[in-house]
Amino acid sequence: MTHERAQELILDLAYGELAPDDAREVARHIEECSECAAEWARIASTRRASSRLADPRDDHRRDAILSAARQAVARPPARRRSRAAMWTVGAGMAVAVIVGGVTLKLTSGRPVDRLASVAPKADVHERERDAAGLHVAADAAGDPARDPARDSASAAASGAASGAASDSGRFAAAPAPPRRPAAAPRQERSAQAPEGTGQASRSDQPSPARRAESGGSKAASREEVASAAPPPSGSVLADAQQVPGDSVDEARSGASEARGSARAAAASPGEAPDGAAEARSGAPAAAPVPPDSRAAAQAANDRALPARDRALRSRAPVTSERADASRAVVADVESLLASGALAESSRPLTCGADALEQRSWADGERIRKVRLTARDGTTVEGWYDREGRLRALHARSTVPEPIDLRRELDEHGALVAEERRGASARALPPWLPPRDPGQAPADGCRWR
Amino acid sequence: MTRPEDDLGGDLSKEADEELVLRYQRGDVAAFETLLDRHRAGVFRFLVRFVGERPRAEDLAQDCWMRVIAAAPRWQERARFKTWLYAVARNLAADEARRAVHRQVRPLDGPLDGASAWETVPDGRRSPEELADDALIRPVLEHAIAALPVEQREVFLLREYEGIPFAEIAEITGAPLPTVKSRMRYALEALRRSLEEANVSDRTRSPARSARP
Repeated sequence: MTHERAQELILDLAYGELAPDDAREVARHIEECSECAAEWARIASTRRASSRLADPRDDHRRDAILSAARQAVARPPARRRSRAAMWTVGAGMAVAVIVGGVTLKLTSGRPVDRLASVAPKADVHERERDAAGLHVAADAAGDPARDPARDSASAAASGAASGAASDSGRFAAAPAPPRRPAAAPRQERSAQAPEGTGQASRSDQPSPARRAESGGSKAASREEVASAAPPPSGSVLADAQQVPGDSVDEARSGASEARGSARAAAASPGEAPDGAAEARSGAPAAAPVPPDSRAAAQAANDRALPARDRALRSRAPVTSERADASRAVVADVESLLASGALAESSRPLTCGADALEQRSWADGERIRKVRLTARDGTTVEGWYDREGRLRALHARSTVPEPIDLRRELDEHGALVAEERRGASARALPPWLPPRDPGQAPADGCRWR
Repeated sequence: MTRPEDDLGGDLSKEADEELVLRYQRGDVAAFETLLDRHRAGVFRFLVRFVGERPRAEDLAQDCWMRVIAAAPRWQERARFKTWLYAVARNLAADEARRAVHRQVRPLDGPLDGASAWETVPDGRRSPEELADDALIRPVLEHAIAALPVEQREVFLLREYEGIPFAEIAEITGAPLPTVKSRMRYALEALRRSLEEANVSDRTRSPARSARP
């Protein structure tokens, strides 16, 4: 083996990456070559010194990572879910179009029926064109009237021409079944188009006509909530406890309006829409409720709210579900952090004799995580839910005595779980993540 | 109610990493737990030595595992899991090192008055003399490693402490194999000089862990 070749392989030999034959040859060369022997000695000496570096202590994040791993397999990937939803919606629309087409075909030869009496003029006109076979001709010629954008524009215009208020009034007053015939998708679009400026605004603030239309589905949603709740005990406290802390968040970001409003009704009474009181009180939600009794129930429920809140704070047992909800907030924040969705900022502050650094991670304008670090290595972290409420904290310190403390809080700030290793509460620093993440951690703390 | 992992069974500790990832893809959380326990300490050790700051290393280690969890459904057995895992960790650490250059803020939890930044675990198997030597060598070594250029530091840490072969380090870092070996040589030479300057290299009395002189 040449000297150059041996020099190339000497590092591989030191780290045991050579095949036995090559290793023997390089070793033989080292014995004969003083230069290679000196290099070999240098490498061996440095590696011996390097081996003195001890392993760092455990990082205590195992549980959070495992929790995230469990959550990841518990729910299907969002892409897969959305694709499945897309297929479902697509299939539903295809069925609706086919049924609608068949219905129109069957009715095309008859005189204008009762549907035509409530349909906007454009639809009547189109149906007449259909009857005359004009659609086929228009399609073949690439008639721009069939363009979906123009179609909706013309529908809106015709809706406006025919009078939105009168259309809405007809829909609201009609004792129609909750689900209209599939043959009338055009009617719905024509009637709703003039009411709002966009889909989002319509769904956020339903018009009276829309409310009347969706009354059936909302009632069904309420029923779903009522049936999903534990057996009706007649106690609002029992129902409220079934709603984990994060359901408010879920409701606010929920995919479906009906589910969202139903959960919001159960979770945040202050924002409950009409009819939520029945869902909370366990009354049969699907049954029609006279307006007077509904108002009375709402008033009774409103009066009961403060008492219920007090009871919730004082009597709520420490349940693993509520601790899990807090841990879910931690996992959610950590997962956002991992994906780079949170913006980091750092700010020094003084708390008495302690010089601290506060690092914050924010999701838009809302702080989701805060870490306070002191010069002695004491670190306290706090995690906040989407409403800005402190839901968990973790304090670690080695001085004056070792402590490792984790606390989970519910949405009201009440302690639901605590895990402590090491020291007593006296070892906790006087500064902890504040309830309001924008505030200083304690009274004596000042930003520098 | 049985969970998916309950049905899969088997002695996971003997399974290869790649098989464990495949099992996790099928919903076996216990397989992921085994992977985590197998590699968590190594990843954290690499990160804490790379960034030299424990809280940052904790965040990075967690980020690393979160990314593994997020990418696990798409993972394919093209390379060793360990190579992939350390590539994720290395990329996070390299990004962090780049950000740290711009941040130019002295960490509050960095080395303070001789205290170790890495909160090491005492080794009960070492003699009092060796422990005394360690106390002298470690701060010098920590500073020497921290002073290495990023490219050399990552190669040195991956090879010396994590036992990853040079060829895999080339995959992890995206550098050619000869370049990786050159960086390792430079790193070893720089460390040797630092130890000599601190006059602590002669105090080493315990044998190297894997050197084969």
